[in-house]
Order: sequence, then structure tokens, then C-alpha cells
Amino acid sequence: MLSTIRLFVSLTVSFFILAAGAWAASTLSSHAAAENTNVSAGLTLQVTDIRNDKGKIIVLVFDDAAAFQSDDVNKAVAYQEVNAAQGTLEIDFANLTEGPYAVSLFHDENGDYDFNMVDGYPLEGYGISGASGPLDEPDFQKAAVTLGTVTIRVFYLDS
Amino acid sequence: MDFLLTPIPLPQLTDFETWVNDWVFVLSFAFLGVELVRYAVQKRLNWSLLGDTISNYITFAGFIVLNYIVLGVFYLAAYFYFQQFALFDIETNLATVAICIVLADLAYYWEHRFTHRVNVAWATHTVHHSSPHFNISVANRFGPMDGVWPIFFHAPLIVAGFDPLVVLFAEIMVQTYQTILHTEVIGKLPRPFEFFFNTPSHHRVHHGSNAQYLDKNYGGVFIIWDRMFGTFAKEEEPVVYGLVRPINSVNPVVIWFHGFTRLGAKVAHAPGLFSKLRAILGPPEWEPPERGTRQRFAPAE
Repeated sequence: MLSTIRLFVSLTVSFFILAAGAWAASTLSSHAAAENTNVSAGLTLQVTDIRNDKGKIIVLVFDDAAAFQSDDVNKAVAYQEVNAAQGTLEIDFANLTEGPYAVSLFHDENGDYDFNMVDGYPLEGYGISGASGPLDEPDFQKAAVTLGTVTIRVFYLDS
Repeated sequence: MDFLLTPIPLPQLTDFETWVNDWVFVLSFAFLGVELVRYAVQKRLNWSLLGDTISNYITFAGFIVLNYIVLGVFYLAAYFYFQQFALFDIETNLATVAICIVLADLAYYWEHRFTHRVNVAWATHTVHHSSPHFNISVANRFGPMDGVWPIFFHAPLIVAGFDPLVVLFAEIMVQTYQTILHTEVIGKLPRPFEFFFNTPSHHRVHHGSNAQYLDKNYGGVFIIWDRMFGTFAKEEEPVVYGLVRPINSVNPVVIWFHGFTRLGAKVAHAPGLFSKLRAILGPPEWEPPERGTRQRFAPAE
């Protein structure tokens, strides 16, 4: 009986040591060490699948769920318009240093600064951080990204 | 301290593992030469000892064939299967590999204790303990299924988040450390070392059939586990090596299979399903009751 208790306690202690050791090991990464010394912190977007060079890519970054949900330009924490280039475009937000952020962008091909739609059907390409596909409209929680490089794919529904 | 956290490429780790393993094996032959000279000087060298030594390497050859060809595939498949459940994201660097070796040693402690206390596992591990001698060739004396049990006891490390190849590396380092403990040539080491680490002295005790030395000193690299979990014994009276019931044979076939024939005989002899199960899962010293005298329930401890 006593030896059974002793065995049980020994096994419990062992599992605790295993968990503590694995947790300690998970904190010991070169990534964590590099983060502390990294001076060029910020948000970098890799915008992929841009179909042509026409017009601009217009990007809105939000740090607020309500503003993100309503796509309110006036409440965005950052805004950039970049000349479109077919393929992949890298867009830096070096001054964004906190987060989490949600990103919403569209490809303004005709240059009218508006996301053109017909009967609620988009005529221009668009992309949202954290979206799994063209019909995915993630909420702020799902769209939220922290600092580093984030890939956003542009979807076109009219082609 | 940057070098501790610099990521290590896995091929580099496995190359190092092969290098250590190979050199320890080669140097162990040179060391065996020293031990044989010592036996000769002490007039203990005889045909039985030489036959035992040769048989040790024959069991090792069989173990390698089984392990690398048959088990190796199963081993890696099982390991990479467990990886999908990884709880922590652990990078491979000197610091995390060191932690992995300590934890693999803890896993080894339990695996080793299991193979001594559960008869079906003892059936293969008894091979390692069946030599009445203690020299570095005994380190390579393995049973046919000795590669099976480690899988279950090291899988938790992979579930915890260590890379399967890092766990395998740690296992082999723990095993290699123990190789060099199998000798009578080295007496006792400085006390702080004897306190924390497994040593030739502690491992001689582990191979003893003396009553007070049975089921003691399971640790691989660290003896601390035995001190913590109450299975430590200090080397005091001279060690009588081997099994409580010796096999008295240097025939490699007898050596390799005596555990299974003994297990089979015990199971066959045990009356009723419960005592048959107990013969398989109980401790090695448990003997089934005589036929005809069996009680309604298995006797309590």
C-alpha cells in the first residue's frame, strides 16, 4: 500500500518535471532573443495574387473591432495607397508597433478611391487578414495579426 | 550566451550522434582489451568468460539487425505520429537539447524500472542481466525486444514538443553514457559526482543479484532519480553479478530467448486466467500458486 502511494507520487512528480522542462525549453528560442533586439519592428504586408498593374492597392489597418467591422476610413490607425503591381507587393507599416491589428484592402483598378460593387457583388479585388477564402468575412478576433510579416491574398470575383 | 540559443540543424545533430556512437563502440573494444589483460593478471580469464564475451556481441548483432531494419521504421513512424500532438513549440538548440537529455533520462528511468518490474518486459531485459560477469562487452548484450519499450516511455517527450530526432538523439546519448559504466576497473568517483551521476559503482549494484541490490539504481545518466524515488542502493558488500536464477550458459540462442521460455513456462504453469495475466504483467519474482491448491482469489501481496 505504502509502496503504491510512493509509486503514484513519484510518477506525478515525474510528469510535473516533464511539463516544466518542456515549458522551459519552449521559452529558449533564438526567435525570442532576436525579438528583443529587433529595431525594425512593425507590420509588413505581403499582398499576393494582384492581377494587373492598373490603379492602386488601398490598405486600411484597424486596431478597433467596431471600426474594422464597418470599414470606417476615419477610424483606421493606418492608411496607405500603393501603385498596383502584378503579382506580389510588399507594404510596410513601420510605425505600427503594438497590435493586434486587422487589415482590409482592395485593388482600386479604376482609381476612383471607391470599392466598386454592382448589386453587392464586388467588381474589384479585395483581401482581409485572416480570411481563408473569398467568401470568408472574419471578425476582428480572427482577422487580428500581430507584428511581423503577414500575407494577404487578393481575391477577384468578376473574373 | 548566444551559442546556447543558436538553432542546430537536425542533420548536424544526427551526424554527431553517429560519430559519438561509432567512436564509443570502437574505443570500447580497446577498453575490453585492457579488461581482458586485467582478468588474465587476476587469473580469472577462462573459456566461459571468453564465450560469454563473444556471445555478448552476437546478441548485439541480432539486436542491431532487428532494431535498425524492422523496428527502426516503426520507431520513426510512431515518433512522427506523436509529433502532431505537440503541446509546446520547442526550437532545437544547445539549451533545449540539454533539457531534452535530462528529460529523456527521466523517461529512461521509468522505462528501465518498468522492464525490471513487469514480467513481459523483463523477458527481454533479462538478457542484459544474464551475464555473471561485468565488463564493457556486457553493455552491448541486448535482448530481442529491448528496442520496443523505449517507444512508449519517450513518446511523452514528443507530445511535450521536442522534435522526434532530438528525442532519439537524447535517448542514444543516455544509452551511450551507460555503455562506459559497465566495468570493474573504475572504483568510486569523487563524492559530488557519485551523488548526482550514475557511475560504474552504482551500475555494478544495478547488475547485482545480492538481495539488497535487486531492483536498484535504474538511472541512466543521473542517479538523482533513484535517490528521489526510493530505488537507490550504495555499493557496499561485493557484488555477485547476474540473475537470481542463473542461466549457466554462454550459448547465444539460450541467452537471447531464456526470458521468453521462462515467461512462457510461467504462463503455461499458472492456473486460470487471472494468474496467467499476473504471470505476464506481475513482477518477475511472483510465482503462480501450485495447481490444485489455487484459491478463489489471487493471494494479496
